[in-house]
Amino acid sequence: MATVNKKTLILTCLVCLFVFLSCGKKRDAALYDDPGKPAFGDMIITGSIGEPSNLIPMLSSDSSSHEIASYVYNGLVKYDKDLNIVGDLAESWDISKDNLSITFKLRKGVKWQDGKPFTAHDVMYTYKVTVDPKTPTPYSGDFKLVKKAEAIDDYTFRVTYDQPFAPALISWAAAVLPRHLLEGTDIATSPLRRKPVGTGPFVFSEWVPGDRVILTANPDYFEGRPYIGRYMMKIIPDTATMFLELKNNSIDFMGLTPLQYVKQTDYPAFRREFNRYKYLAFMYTYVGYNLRHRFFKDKKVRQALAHAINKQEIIDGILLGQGIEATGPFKPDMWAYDGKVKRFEYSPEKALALLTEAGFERGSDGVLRKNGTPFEFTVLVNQGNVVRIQSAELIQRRLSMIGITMKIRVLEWATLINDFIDKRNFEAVLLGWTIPNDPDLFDIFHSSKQGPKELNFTGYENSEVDGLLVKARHTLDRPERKKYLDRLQELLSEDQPYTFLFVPYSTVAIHRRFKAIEPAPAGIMYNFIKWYVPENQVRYRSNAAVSP
Amino acid sequence: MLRYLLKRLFFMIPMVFGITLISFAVIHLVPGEPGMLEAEMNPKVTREARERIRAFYGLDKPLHVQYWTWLKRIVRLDFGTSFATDRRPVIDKIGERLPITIVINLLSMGLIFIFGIPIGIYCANHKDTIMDKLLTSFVFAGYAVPTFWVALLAMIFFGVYLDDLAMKYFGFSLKLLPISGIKSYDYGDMNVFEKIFDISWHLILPVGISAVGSLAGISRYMKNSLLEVLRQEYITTAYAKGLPGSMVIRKHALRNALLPVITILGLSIPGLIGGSVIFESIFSIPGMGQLFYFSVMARDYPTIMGILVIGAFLTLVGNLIADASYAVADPRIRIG
Repeated sequence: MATVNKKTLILTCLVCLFVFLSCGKKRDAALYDDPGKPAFGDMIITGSIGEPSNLIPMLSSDSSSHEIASYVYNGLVKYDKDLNIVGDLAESWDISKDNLSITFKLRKGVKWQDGKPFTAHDVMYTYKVTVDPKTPTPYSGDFKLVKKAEAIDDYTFRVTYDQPFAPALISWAAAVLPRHLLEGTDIATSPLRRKPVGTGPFVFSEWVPGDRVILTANPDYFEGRPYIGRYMMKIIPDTATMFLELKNNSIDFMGLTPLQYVKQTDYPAFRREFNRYKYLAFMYTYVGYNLRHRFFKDKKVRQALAHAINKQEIIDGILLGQGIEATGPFKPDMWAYDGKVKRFEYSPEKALALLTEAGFERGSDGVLRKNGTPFEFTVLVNQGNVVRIQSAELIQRRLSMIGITMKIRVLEWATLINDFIDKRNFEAVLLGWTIPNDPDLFDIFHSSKQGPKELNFTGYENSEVDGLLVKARHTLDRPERKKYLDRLQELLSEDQPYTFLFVPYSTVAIHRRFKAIEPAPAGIMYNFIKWYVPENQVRYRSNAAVSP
Repeated sequence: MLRYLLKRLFFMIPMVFGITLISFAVIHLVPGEPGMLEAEMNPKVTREARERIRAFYGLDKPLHVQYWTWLKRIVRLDFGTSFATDRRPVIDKIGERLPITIVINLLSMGLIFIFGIPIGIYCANHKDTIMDKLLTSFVFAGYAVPTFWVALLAMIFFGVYLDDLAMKYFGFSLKLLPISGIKSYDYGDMNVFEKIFDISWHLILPVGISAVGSLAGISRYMKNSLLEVLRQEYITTAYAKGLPGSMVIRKHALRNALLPVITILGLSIPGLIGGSVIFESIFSIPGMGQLFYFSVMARDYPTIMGILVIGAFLTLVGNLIADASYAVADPRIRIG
């Protein structure tokens, strides 16, 4: 009798545990199909590999700090969904006839999240502290070009430059900091680095170190209160763990790898819970050649390599179709993009013809030689970037077909930069560039930018390109600037200092209860404050803090 | 005994000094510098800005000067300020993360002893039986497979697979164990009991899995040491005077066989600290191991050095306690 009771007891306990843990929630498969009506509330949980370091954005260089800061702070201007510059804290702006000064008219009635009014003096303070040599910021470059900055009255701010500077306007998208909380203190040790106060759509509420950062909607936001009530960034250093948390519905939002996007999330249970979105990423991957190398000096060799590499094969095989061929340093949905430049289609024959012109001969063993020296080089790739390493392997195979031996060397990021690229100690690299929203390529292709730690590390020199780069960055008129940029892209395509490989898609999964998400050239976050969860689909109703 | 302890403590000073010297040299040999890794290859970061940041951190000074500055601070127990852009005192960063790491390590150490010692005893008593072989295979499998892999499998099983099954056959969501983290999203709403339950619930997987990997060591030590003792003549004597088997094991054999196991306690501390780095990253636990991982990735030298010094200190103290308790427990050892 006793044993029976014991068994029953255990069984009952187990059943209780089962029910308790499962919460007995029945899921309705069609629930999230209903677009519903915009409603305030719910929480979005995202995962981040790294923990933010400093929430004053000009002091930090990591993406998670900048992400949090982008919800808390505003700049004077911002990009809209089609990458046009529109006002943010500035209502409008005038550019003087000589193109040297910009006068911003600021929004009136904007309040800092602690209730103090926002004025032009905050902008002035932000400018001053950024260019102050005592401030440890990496981002003072653009503001250093300002000759004079003045707050004309509380709501008018004017900057004057020595010469017209095309990226000037968008450089004022930098976060404006609250003067009343910072002036007279040391910004590097200000409490705001862990507890920011901005003008933005979300208010900082809590940071549990190593665990999560929580923001709540700002009910007084000048563009209207965001529908989503809370934002939580969970710190999950391991990407495999993060993906499991997504499948487990514990996080709502995550960037996916091509493999995850195409293969691992394409099943009914996942599609019932998540929508997947894709849009062209602001980056391209390229093979950069050391132009001081005796073979790569010759333009014909570089053009031949562009013909010898099968870009589409890399996109299909490694990105699983989630990318497009790159033809230059911009992507097709940008106004600066020139679609008419010469394309180098995959053609080993053309490649060989060009190499023959350049003085190479193919021996009976199939190896290409110039004056007896075989065509051999090493490409450097950074460790951990599987897409780049695999791309290098495909390129290696294609080049070996025409008699070129390419070795692949995988290096840890800091070693690659400090010991090889900075010392110009490489033959070729396979890397990626972020595509800037403003199409200024001066730092990457101008021949003056070859010093230590500067970015024209391949040693590209073309006097016409130099001239165009300077003209383009000092022309504010868009059609005229576009003319220079088009010519620039033609020259880059002709010269092939890089073999431009591909522009990948950014692929993300977002829980289906979030509505009003529309991918655009600017990505998806541009209308974050308009995202909403219909009342019947709200998941998180608690508004409590996490810390005890 | 007291003299011995003092002597050992005294000799720990040059040891800690040596450890810091080597660690300092090694982390500075690694290419890359704090605050710069994410700013590399960023067109918006000018060279002049770089120099300014280097000077700000004192990285423009020669290495021995940097070490001397650090050493002068550390002897006053000042761990300095982190090089991460948050510029917080290192001691605060470590302090807020140390408790959870210690709790997890103590719990898993507890589990290892609770399971490892009985397994060892059972295997010694039932040497070469099928059960002995099964248990041995099990603990060795736990030792051999990479723990991060077991951790991922367990996370998939409890977090995703069971949920999918329950959904398919019973039509409701079943989340038996959480995948990562140590607190639920609504932790702030809970009362004390719910909070304790919530944290324990989150700790089951990390603690359980970290224990599985270390069972092999303890159970093998226990088994061999017990077998060794069982061969002694006084055990034969005990059997000969008619004592029951369990009494022989408990009163005569086990007491002596447990001695070497004490040493393992002290020696396992560095392993546990090293393991925390992996565990806390996989399970997203905001502990010292995770901080170490982030600091190394960011080349945050003061934080790395701080954690290394604390780790070295804990290890040395662990060894000392093990040696001392050995002397206390074993009357055959005399240290003067």
